[in-house]
Amino acid sequence: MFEIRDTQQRRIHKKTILLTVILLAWFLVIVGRLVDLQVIHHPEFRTEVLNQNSHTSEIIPRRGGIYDRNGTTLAVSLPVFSVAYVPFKGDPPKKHLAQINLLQKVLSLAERDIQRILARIEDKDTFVWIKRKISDEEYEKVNRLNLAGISFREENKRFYPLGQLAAHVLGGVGMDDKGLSGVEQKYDELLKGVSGESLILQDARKRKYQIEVLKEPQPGRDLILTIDQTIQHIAERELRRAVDETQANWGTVVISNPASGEILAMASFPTYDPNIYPGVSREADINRAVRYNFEPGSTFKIITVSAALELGTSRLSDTFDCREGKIRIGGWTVWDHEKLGILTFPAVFIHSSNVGTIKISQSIPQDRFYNAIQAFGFGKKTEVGLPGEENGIFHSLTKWTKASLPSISIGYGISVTAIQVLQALNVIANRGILVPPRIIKEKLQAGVPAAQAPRVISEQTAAEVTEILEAATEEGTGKEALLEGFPIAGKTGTAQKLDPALGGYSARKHLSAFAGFVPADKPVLSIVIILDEPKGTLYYGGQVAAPVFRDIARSVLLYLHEPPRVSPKPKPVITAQLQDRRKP
Amino acid sequence: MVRKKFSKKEILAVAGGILVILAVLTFIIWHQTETINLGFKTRDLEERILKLNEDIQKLKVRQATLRSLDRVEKIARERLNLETAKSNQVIFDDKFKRP
Repeated sequence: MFEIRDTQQRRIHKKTILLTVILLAWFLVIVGRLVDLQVIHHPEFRTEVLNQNSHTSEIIPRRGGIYDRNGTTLAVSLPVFSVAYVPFKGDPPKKHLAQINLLQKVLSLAERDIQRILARIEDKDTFVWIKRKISDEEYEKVNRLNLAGISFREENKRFYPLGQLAAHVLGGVGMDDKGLSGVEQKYDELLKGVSGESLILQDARKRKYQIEVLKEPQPGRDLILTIDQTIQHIAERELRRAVDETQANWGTVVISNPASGEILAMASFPTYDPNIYPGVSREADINRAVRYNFEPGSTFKIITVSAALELGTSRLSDTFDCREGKIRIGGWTVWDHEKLGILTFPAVFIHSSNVGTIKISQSIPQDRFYNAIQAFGFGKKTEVGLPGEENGIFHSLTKWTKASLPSISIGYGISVTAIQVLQALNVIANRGILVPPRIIKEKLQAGVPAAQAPRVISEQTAAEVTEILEAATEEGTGKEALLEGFPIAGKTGTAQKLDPALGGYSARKHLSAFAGFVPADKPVLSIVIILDEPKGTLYYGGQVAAPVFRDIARSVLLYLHEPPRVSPKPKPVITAQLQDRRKP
Repeated sequence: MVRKKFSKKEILAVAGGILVILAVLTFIIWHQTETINLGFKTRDLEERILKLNEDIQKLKVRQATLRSLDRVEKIARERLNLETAKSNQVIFDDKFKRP
């Protein structure tokens, strides 16, 4: 009995041991495998998994913002989504068409966009842009459709929150955020930044669980402009009004602080909205302040009288016979707007006599006049900090004819830009010192430091010219620019335009201008206004451009907290005529 | 043949060892799973921060658009019937000039 029991117990014991060994072995195998997977081969398997479930991605840098001198945002980049189609292989064309048609309404796609997308799919492209840089609302709508093969890519989009304000200064960017005009183009390298790179880890369901930055992106540099939002707004408002009223083809206004050369406003009309750039008309795209050459007409007489006084070829007390009201130069007859009689040197300027100015210029040696014009900065870019700036057209001395000096003295035979006129005007405002204009507040531009700015004319000459300019607004052609309580120094200009059809100067097409600074004795603002071909009976610079100067100056001086003088300044120098100009 | 009997201590030692190994392995797996889960959560939070920052930027742009002088002037003139003050309507006091 006991033997049987013992045998049974032994058998059970053996079986138990066997089972235990099997279980232990199985357990050890599992443990071994776990150790193998999680410890021994862990780094190797991790690398393998990473290779399968990770990819590197470009980190697009944030494009630098553009701000006005007071920190107001003029341009900023924000991330937005773009929609792309990644077609599945083997999907029938009908399915593609159905998918795209669904998107057509949501994204307002044009028929030609649909054709482009379908053509790309037919070409078996594996990635097709549907629409780039969509709005948040469009993103929500497309996302809700949950279409197969539709993917979103994050990109940066340029926003110009103030719309058209300073459009020509800012310029615009293309679809790939590359600057195409304005400071966006000029300083593209600084603004765009440097791309970075990231490693994206995702699980089997392609959910991102870790993003490692392999290379930090370098955001673009912010730019601070010299532009003042409020002054720019005033300039644009008044320019638009002037162009509308005079029905001019176009107009431009540039306002600066003469002492620093900082451009406070630069406006051109017609204009555009940089938010929808590119795609604007060519006419609207041109920054007329820097990219348009024109014959300056009488505003250039500032240079002639400055040169004559500086070189000592004429004195303030000299008189000039303008009784005939015309003068012959190189086969051409130049007329005054009326017979002005015998005029003193200042009166020649005040009444903008072409005859008198030509007579003043005839005493200036050609080479010295040429050098004086160059010294005022004509014939070369001002390097204001905007792309496409014109040099103007100023022929070298070797190409000058007998008619060159007299015609240039009254602003013909030379072409300039509005910014060059402003720079020259600032020489007078700065008592003879040339301070180059600039649009960037920081020192990014290679320029002459203010301390080393070249002297173009003596302080005395500049003071004399300033007084003559003051008289020109008080008694001469620029009366419409007068502003109560502020002494204004300025000059009008009404240049006849060359008409290729006529083969000469047109009597109907004019370019009207006013250039001046205020207050004359301690300038805070210098302003140049150009209106192209004002229509109607009023077309003289003194009639159409001078009032714009007055309206802009009034608003800007108020904004700058410049109070008017309580007591008016005593009248400036010698303005009397020796003979009644109506009785030559 | 004498059957070897395992003492209670030996059995406990083996069981303890197995438990320790199991515990360590469980911890390693839990740690890795938890790391990945935390990765997801961190990523979600980072994305949320990014999104909120983007929203702030977009709101700032919107604010700048709404405060643009063109728009403000248009509202002032058309909706509120305001006009630019004429020269003789402006009175300057001593505080007007900036220091």
